Amino acid sequence: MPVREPPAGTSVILGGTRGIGGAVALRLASPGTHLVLLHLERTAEAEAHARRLTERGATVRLIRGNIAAPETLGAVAAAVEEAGQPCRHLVHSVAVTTFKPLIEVRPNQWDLVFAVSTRSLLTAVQALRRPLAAAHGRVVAISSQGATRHIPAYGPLGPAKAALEGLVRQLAVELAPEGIVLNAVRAGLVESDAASRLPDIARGAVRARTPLGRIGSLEDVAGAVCLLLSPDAGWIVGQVLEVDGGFSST
Amino acid sequence: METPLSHDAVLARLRSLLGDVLLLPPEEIPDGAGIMGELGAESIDLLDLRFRIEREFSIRYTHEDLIASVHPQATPDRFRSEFTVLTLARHIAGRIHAGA
Repeated sequence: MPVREPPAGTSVILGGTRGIGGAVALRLASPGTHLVLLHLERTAEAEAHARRLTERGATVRLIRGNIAAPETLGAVAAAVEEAGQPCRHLVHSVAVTTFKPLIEVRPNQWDLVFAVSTRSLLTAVQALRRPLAAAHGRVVAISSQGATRHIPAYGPLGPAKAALEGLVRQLAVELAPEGIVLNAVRAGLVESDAASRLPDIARGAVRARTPLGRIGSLEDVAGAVCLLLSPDAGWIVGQVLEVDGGFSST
Repeated sequence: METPLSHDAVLARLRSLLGDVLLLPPEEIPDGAGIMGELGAESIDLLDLRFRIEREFSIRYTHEDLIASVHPQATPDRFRSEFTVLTLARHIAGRIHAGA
């Protein structure tokens, strides 16, 4: 039985023009869907992605900005209001880090990683609280294996993802009575720009330890995200779903 | 109409921003210092610096703007060697005076 799709409405995807967020946008794009996508860089790439989404029948609003700046989330909230449709989804797929040992990280680097990768989920939910509550919206944050295990040269992002999962859990309990449901997906290594920069030996080690015998794809994770965004996940609240081909079970 | 900041004022504010990012006393940051070379800024620091420039000077300042402060088609090596406090300050001042 196929996963039930929700009625059309507005889906906000922070980081929705590339990577996992971009793949989620592709899964959600259909006639009647309005997508509000936040990006920072690569405007040409973002516009090309928006064209692919409109070819699938969705309407798209691209917003370029620093997710850690209050005015950016104000612009996102304004775009949701202008669309005039129920705000059914918020997906948080934004992170930055500096790839070096945590012990070498400077305070400004720590602050920026946390502001972009973690605090921005709180401020986004705060900015969209009213429309999400009105639509009984569902929120999914993208976490990573760094939240629970050491990843070499991952900088502050491991602690930031651990904090992100804690934030999801805390907000999920606080906001469920309002009808807003939050969950997280903890993604294993997937084929992405970041993964392509890893040395072959590291990729090989992940592949060898993964029961399904391969690196994940963006679509693998997007499918799990869309499951959590769907009405079929209605009774799943405050959870972190591990999506890694079985890596974490070994 | 507000008078645009002078080049010297932009330079002074930029030194202060760099000091905050790189934990250096602003008065010890030479105008000709390479931001990624002598001052040791990393990629994430450039992102941090861009955001601080946007807040401080109320302008939009993209990654492409950072590159353009040296040359729009600057190679990574050229950018690294020519991206100095002074070149960045001049570019920011130029953007402010252009009203961008």
